[in-house]
Amino acid sequence: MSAEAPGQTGDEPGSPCLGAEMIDRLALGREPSGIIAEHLLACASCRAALHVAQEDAEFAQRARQLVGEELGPVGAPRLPGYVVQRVVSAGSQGVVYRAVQESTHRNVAVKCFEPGESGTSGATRQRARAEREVEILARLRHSNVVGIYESRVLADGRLVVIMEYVDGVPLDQWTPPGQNAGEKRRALLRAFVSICQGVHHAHLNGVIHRDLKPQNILIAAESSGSGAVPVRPVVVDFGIARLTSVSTTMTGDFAGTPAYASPEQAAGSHDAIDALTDVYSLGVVLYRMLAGKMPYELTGSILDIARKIAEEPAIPLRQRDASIARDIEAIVDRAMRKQKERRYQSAAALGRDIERYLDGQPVEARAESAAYVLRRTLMVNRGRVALAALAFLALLVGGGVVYSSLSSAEASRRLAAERQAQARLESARARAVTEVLREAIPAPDPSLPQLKLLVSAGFGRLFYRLEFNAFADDPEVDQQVRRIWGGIYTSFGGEKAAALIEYSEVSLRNGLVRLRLTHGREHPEIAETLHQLASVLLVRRRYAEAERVARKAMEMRLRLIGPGATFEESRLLLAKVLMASKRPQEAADLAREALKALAALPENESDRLIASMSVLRARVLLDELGRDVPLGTVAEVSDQSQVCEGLLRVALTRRLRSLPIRDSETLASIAAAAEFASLRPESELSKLLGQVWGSEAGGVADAVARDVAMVRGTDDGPHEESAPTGRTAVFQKMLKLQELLLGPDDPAIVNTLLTIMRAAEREFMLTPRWTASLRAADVLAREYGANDLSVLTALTQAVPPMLFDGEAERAAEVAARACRIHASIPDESRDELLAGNSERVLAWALAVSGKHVEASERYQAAIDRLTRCVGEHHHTTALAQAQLAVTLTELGQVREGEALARRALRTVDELGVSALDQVGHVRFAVAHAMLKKLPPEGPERRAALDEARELLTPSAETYARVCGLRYPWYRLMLDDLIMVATLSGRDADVVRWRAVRGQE
Amino acid sequence: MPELDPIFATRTTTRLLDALRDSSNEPVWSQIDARYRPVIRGLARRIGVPEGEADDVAQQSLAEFVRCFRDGRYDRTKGRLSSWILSIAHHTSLAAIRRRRRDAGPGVGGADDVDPADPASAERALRSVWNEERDRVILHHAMATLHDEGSMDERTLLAFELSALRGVPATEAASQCQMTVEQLYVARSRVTRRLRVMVREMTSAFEEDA
Repeated sequence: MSAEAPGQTGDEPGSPCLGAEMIDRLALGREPSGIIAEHLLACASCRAALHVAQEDAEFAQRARQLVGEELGPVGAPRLPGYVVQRVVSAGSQGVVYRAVQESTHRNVAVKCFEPGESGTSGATRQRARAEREVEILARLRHSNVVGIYESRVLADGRLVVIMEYVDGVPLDQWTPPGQNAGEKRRALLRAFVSICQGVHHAHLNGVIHRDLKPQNILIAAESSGSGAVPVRPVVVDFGIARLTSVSTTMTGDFAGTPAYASPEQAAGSHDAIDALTDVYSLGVVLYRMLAGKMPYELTGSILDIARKIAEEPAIPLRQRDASIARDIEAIVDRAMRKQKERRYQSAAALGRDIERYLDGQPVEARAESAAYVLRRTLMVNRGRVALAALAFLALLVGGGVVYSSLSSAEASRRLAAERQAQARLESARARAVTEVLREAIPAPDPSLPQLKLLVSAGFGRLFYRLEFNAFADDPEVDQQVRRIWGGIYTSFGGEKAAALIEYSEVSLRNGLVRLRLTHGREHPEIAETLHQLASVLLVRRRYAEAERVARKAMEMRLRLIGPGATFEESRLLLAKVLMASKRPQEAADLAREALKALAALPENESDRLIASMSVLRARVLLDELGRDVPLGTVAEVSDQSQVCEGLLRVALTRRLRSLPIRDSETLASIAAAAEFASLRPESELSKLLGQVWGSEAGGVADAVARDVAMVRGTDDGPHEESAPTGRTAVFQKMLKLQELLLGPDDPAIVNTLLTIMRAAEREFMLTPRWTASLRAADVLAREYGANDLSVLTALTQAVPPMLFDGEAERAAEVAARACRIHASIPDESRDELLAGNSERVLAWALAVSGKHVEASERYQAAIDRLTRCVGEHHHTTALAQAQLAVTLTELGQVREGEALARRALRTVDELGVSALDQVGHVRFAVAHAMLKKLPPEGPERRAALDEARELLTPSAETYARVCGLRYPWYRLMLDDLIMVATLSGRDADVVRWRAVRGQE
Repeated sequence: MPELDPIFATRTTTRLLDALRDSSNEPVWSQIDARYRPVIRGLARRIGVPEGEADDVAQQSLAEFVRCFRDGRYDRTKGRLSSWILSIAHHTSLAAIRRRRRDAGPGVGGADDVDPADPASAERALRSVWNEERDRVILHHAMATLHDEGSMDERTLLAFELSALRGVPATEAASQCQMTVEQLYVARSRVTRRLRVMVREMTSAFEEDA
């Protein structure tokens, strides 16, 4: 017999053979009774069965010795409420079991970690740390991150983490669905967007993965009613690397699979590991999945590999596979930048750019250089980056004013130079601010009035992240972010939500406690944080406390750092507190001392401080001057008046050249100057303001107050559907003031011109928009050279409003100039997308001017270039095709025109393009061609007329808002509509469109 | 017969080492890593390296191994591969312990039991610890493979786990598996035999040297 076919237990020879239970007992060493012994002697099959059972028992005993410890003394992990079913995997980090939760019958994964040195305080600490880590991991709730349900510590000290059971395959073993390589690639990218979202969610909760690789990303099938098989990518082992202390201390080496490690990991810079480390690894994973190979030739020793990762450029993705789109190559390249500050600043940003690619939109990875260059052009040379200005520029970039991609040798050189020049401090701050702003601004085209609302939402998120240790890995960044958070908030002025300002205070106080634990009683970081805390207390109107804290910060700074801009910043804050405490004279004295000291500092360090101190002193004097009975003799009052005027002029000049026009401090300075003007109408300052506002009703002071209130006020309210009006005119007046004070060529006015462009766009004002663009191009050309990229950007932006405004011939000249700038860029550095787009714009301008033959050649060149660069299935290519179609129709090539226009229409439909003017152009192109070759009278003709009407009507409505009759193609559109209405016998429509066209 | 666990997919050490010369061969590196890292880690812990540092020792040992191997410093005629890795892991562990002693002052240590008062017996003891750690890793992999290959149903595997590995009494285990005691024995016996074969195969793959 065998143990697999046991007979019944028998105690007598000749009786049935021994049962399996008896054989088992004997195998475990139980002495057989006499009868059983006799049976064994007589029965060969039972003896054989016993022999096998003894070998089995030996094996089982050895197995228990080996793994019994991990399994626990009596079958651990014994987890009340769970039935542990089987081992899923076993590795150095521990064993993972599949188990079923009894109450819910759901499958769970149970990860059982190796125990520490039991009974030691180290083990206790380690366990406590691990438990805290699990607590943080358990907060992650995202469909693309494996869910952690709970953790338990077993009696033997082992930590057990119970988590979601994912029944999936690792990413590198997954075949994305699709009929062909293109479809599969898109499916992969869609899945990757979800992965990025999951990773970003973890980052927001302060969890960094540190070991992202395809094996840690599972693709689970999700059941659905539809035919398609949706998938759910799930990132596993989040934070496990940290939990199990896998990261190595060996300099130059790293744990896990080295191939996915970031340059900072490869360099052994553990302090530099943060969320951007994961962004890099995501880039490598995407590279690997797209190319099937790693981005580096991983030859040599591990140290060699580390060096390659840290220093050598990755092999370009398209060198691996030329069929991969350039946009995707740019996206992967940006995620894998060696310098962290040049990577996407969050996993979400990476995911969003992939989404943009999937939607056929221009990707940010390729626009980076233009945005960066322009931003730096406008901001860097003025010294300190104003946070509010940064927010503004982020909106501009996000809003599409600067969307074209530029990458020339010049840009590279400038970027390299700027990188070197950028202080580490600024990059950390900029990174954090950029990240929070990106989160705060979800819409691709956010409207400016939402700014505060959106940024407030960003504050809320940032506060959450700070208080849940999102930056705990890097205390310096943690502190900087806390201060930036407090700083942005307190700088916004106006009414503040009580809850938010409370967050600010709590956050800073918590940061202070940590800093003191780290640095002791005094440290520059502590002084910095105290300073911010005093700012918050000032806003909260707790003046006595604010004064105490501000003094402490000021004294600490003086002791630790010495005199200088930082100390004066504290003195200014204290002066503001004193002002608010109704002690103006003390404040003025303090400001006077500060101004003396600031005079010795370089301008770029002192500009804003001098401006603030000057306004503060002027404020005190203004209050005195404004009293009915002046306190002093006529001569004294006259002196005071002169001093006040001087201070205000200094403040205005310095603010206008270092801060954006809409900054609250700039506006406050203008308002103070207007107040002075009303008290001293004969003064020079009053005359200066009079040159701008003099002709307005109610006098200069009232007019300025109205305008300042309008610009301030529009920033607050809820989302407005209708565009606010009047702000363009206000900004134009402020531009004039800026020109009077700084001169017409000062680069600071470019910032104001951008503000005007933005406001004019929202108000559908064409002329101010393009004149501001052209003016900006001139100033930038003088400052940085005629062929500078910023000039190119400004010129390109001027062309569409010029065309809409009936300035086709001038627009063609401007577009030609932009094309010449492109031509001056060496081939290898030229950005094909931008070059193609400029050519398209030039062709459009020529076509609108009636030069159809020339336009047609230009269009063809543009389409060729765009197709080479982004492919035919792209909204810019489609727009060029549609515009060419109009030209072909005008040239009598109606059939070709209609075919091309219909192709473009299919593309924009498939891509879901939402820009109304673009869609309007494409629809118009189709209808315009159709109407030139209408079928003879009959059902086909009626159907064609119906289709043309449906295409033209929404286009015409869009263009009525965007441009009006000055745009020749809008007039063509209306003529087409009148023709359709006439031929269809729709008399009411004929009357309607004739009225719009200006015909009776 | 189902395939072996992926870490033993490259059947022999000889072939693994040949493949390792091609340093772009990432799967091979993963296999070496998966094979030896847990063994080195276990060895380090057993000879006195604190829990928190055992991973570092494993990492350093593997890095040293790859470096030496690619520099051509491994001579197959002078000893088995596992002995060579063992000796690297041993030295790295001792260095870690010494470093710790130096940092923490007197009274902190471990590794005295493997200090070579009697070199031959110390080497035997070390080899025995190594083998035990190797067997532990192999057993874990064999069990995982058995689960993955799907030739036995969940209840059969659970019966083995409960009664053979976790020492749950037969009646209780049978009840948990919803089977009779006799069925439990049959199930356990089937799994044990299959595992024994797998462990033998894996051990041979692990230890085969040119």
